[in-house]
Amino acid sequence: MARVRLYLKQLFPSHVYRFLRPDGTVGTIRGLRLIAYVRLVGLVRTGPDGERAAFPDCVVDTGAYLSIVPQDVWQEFLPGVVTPLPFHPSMPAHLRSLTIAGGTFPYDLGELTIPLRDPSGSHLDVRVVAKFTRDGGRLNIPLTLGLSGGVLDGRVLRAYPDPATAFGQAWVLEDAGGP
Amino acid sequence: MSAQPQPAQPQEKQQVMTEEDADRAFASVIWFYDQIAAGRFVEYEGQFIGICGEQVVAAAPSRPELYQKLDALGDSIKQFQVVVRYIPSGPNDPYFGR
Repeated sequence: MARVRLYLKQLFPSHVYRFLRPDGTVGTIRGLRLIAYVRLVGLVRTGPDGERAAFPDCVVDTGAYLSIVPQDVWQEFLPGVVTPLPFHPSMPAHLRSLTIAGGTFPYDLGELTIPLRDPSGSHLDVRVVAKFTRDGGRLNIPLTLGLSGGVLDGRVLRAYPDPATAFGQAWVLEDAGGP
Repeated sequence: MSAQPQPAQPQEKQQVMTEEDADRAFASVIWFYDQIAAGRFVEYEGQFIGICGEQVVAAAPSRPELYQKLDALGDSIKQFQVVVRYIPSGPNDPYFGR
């Protein structure tokens, strides 16, 4: 059963929400992101420029409708890596752009396989329908893995308490095993 | 008969990332996340950085400018082991701050 570890990361030590509870105690919540390790070697153009894009930042965003591949990543893909999926004529115009990070960007839909890896050597290839933003490199965001569009098809995303892991939670994306 | 000295062959320029390059680049990514979580890289906030091994080898305000700087380093670094990261300017930077 293929599985890959995901990791909670606090990317800014100062990113902490602090608040007072009614009893006067101080509550804190760290600003965490769920990170996946991606290895695009073999999918990007050969040569230093293309292969500098082989290990992009990748965050798992459980609130994203679909995965998002920004242009500075997809523009390095080899031909054939992405299967274009033209919009159906019934697709409303307002759904054909993506508003994010202070801007609105047109996008194309496409399908690709994203190879997830983890530091232990485990790997899981996920076939996803994603938004490929046409932003001219202006949209500076990580590769964003949403949960719809294939990531969870036949798979389980789960977290469980693990005192040995940073922030006490281990996260795993794995193929759904039979009983 | 003594052997004739052979003229040095020009070394072929590397064209493709090898498995070893990829493994080392991946190790740099792991190292990067450990470092940024520890509060490193504040001097690069708002910039793109190129990492080779456990070292920042170049930084620039945009990806194209960074690539120019990396290219200018030539063979002084392992070009195929470089990974690129953006260092957000803070928690409210849209890069990670959504």
